[in-house]
Amino acid sequence: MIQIEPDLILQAQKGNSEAFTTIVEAYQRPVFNLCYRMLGDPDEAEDAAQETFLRAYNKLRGYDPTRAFSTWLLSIAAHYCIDQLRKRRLTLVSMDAMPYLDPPDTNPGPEAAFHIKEDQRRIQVMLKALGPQDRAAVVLYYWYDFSYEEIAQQLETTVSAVKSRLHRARLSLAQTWSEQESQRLTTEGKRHESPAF
Amino acid sequence: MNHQPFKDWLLSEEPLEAQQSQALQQHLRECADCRQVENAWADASALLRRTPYAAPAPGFTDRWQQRLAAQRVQAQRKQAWVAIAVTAGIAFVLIVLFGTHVLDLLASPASLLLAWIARLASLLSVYGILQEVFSVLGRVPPMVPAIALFFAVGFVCFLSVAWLATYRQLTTARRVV
Ligand SMILES: [Zn+2]
Repeated sequence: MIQIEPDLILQAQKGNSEAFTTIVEAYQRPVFNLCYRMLGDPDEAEDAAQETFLRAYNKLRGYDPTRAFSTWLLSIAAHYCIDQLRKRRLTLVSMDAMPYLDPPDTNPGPEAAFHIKEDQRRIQVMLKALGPQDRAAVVLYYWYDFSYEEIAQQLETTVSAVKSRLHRARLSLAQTWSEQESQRLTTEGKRHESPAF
Repeated sequence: MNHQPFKDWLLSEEPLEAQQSQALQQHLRECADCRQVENAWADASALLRRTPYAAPAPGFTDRWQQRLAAQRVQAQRKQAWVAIAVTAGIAFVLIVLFGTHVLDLLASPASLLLAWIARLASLLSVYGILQEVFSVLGRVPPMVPAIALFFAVGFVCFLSVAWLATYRQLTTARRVV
């Protein structure tokens, strides 16, 4: 996780919006990633990430400097996304929309590019099978290396509840993975069976 | 077959004791079901661990600045509406209060005029008292803290408001009788 100068936060707390812009610049990626993994749609994730920074800006005075700034910021994002998921519940999100992916250092061949895209799609399908709280626990654990205690603090629950959430989530992730795998095998099998033109 | 402890161990990312690990390996050799969970979780967790952060489209910070500016404009607009609403409210209260007086004036101009003169006189006397109080305060050495001055003025204001309210109540009652 990125660390920024405490002085920069102090400047932003005093109302220096240029300092806050530097903070946005530094944290845009982790915040956007959290929103994208939670919401599954790049446009919604952009909106949620923007909203997160706006909320952080508005309540920056209430930020306690003894806490890690990144934890505080990600907590705002996670809560916003959980609320969004609860609100929409039934609206469908297209899984075809892809986030902007950094151009890799070496230009990948079409096959590698396909694999990257396929990975992204599979992971979103797997996360989508989880409820908002379980999803947040998984995202914070695997992308942000949060400890059980930190996740418990964020989700306002106990460590043992986090452990059982993660356990349940892992089982669901493994199941979704197996389903996707068998689906892939059947479609590939069909492709091989179908006569070539 | 009871798979429960084995499935728990498979999905727990905490280290197992030697005995547990041995029992798990033994079970996996015999149980295709748990083997399948193990393989699926190994692949799924590998995918979780190798997937990097997704990045926003370029220009995120610029878009954020635009959003902040838009929020500020909205806040200002809201403030303006609040100011308009408060002004309208005050105007309404004034119309209600003095509208009846206009009607009274049409009905009995002389008595109302007298009542207003009495009110003006009382305001002048309040002013006189305040002037006196302030001249006394002015002579008090600056040892008296500003906060005490503040409270003294506040108390005097409260007294005069209470007095005005009582006065108004009395005159209204007389008018009704
Ligand atoms: Zn088994």
